Amino acid sequence: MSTVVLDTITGKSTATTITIGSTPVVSASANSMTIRGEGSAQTSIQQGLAKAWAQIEGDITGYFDSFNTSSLTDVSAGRPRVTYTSNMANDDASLTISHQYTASSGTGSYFANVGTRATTHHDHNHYQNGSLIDAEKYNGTVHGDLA
Amino acid sequence: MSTIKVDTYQTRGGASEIAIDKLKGVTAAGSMLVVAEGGTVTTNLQQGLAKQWLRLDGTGTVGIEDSLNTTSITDNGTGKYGVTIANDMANANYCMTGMASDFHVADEDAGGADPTTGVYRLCCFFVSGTDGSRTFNDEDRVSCTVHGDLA
Repeated sequence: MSTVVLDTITGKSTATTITIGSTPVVSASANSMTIRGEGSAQTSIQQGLAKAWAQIEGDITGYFDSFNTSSLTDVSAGRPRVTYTSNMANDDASLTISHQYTASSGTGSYFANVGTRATTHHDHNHYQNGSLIDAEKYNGTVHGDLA
Repeated sequence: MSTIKVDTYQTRGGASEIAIDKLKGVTAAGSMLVVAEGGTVTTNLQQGLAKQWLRLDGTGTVGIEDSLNTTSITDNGTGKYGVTIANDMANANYCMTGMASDFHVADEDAGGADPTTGVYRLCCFFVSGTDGSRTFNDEDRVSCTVHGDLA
């Protein structure tokens, strides 16, 4: 068992550059740390991390739990708006969403992505029988580039 | 505050890798920051990691095709499945998102208990008919991911 306990690893000559062998794992220009995956390929730590996630109360009054979120806005029934603490670099982030189904959810209950996407926030849209209706609760996860 | 200042890590044999089993913070063992893509803002490593995920085959005898931190799944009826987490979450407020190849996936509560720190239920359905009616269906490629706090 090997354990390293510390707060910061920094380059000695260049603070933002650490090289393992001949491979930079931290680069000031790329802002990308790579890690070896389950096989032989490398994967980016930054790109693999969720940049925000939240479980939201069905009446859109608050977060049950969340990461990198600030205010929650009740745009309309079935449409919570999640605002980020640290903004995304663009509005092309990947948003995956689910909701809690209950017997009272009605028929045809589903989620859809909408055009209201920004670097600062995203909306969930929960439809039931073609109309925006509050879900029992909302779940959403964002992957992409932080600003 | 602990700082290691180096330019290059190498094994004694010159290999470009660090062999290590566990990393943890000092200030808070379960919290480490990573500089994000923009180069200034930091994001939290632990909070960004998926704590559990799986892909299951929900047709016939249900089975896990691949997974992380998953003990078992159960067949709870047509289109409905239970998932048991190996290392439990700290609370039941975790964020579960999922999709199936042709269907919606939802965090299921109908007729059952809310998610717990160790078990959640999900269901697969499609919206059918002009009245928007919903039909549960067994699905062969169901994927779901959990983000939240491990216990």
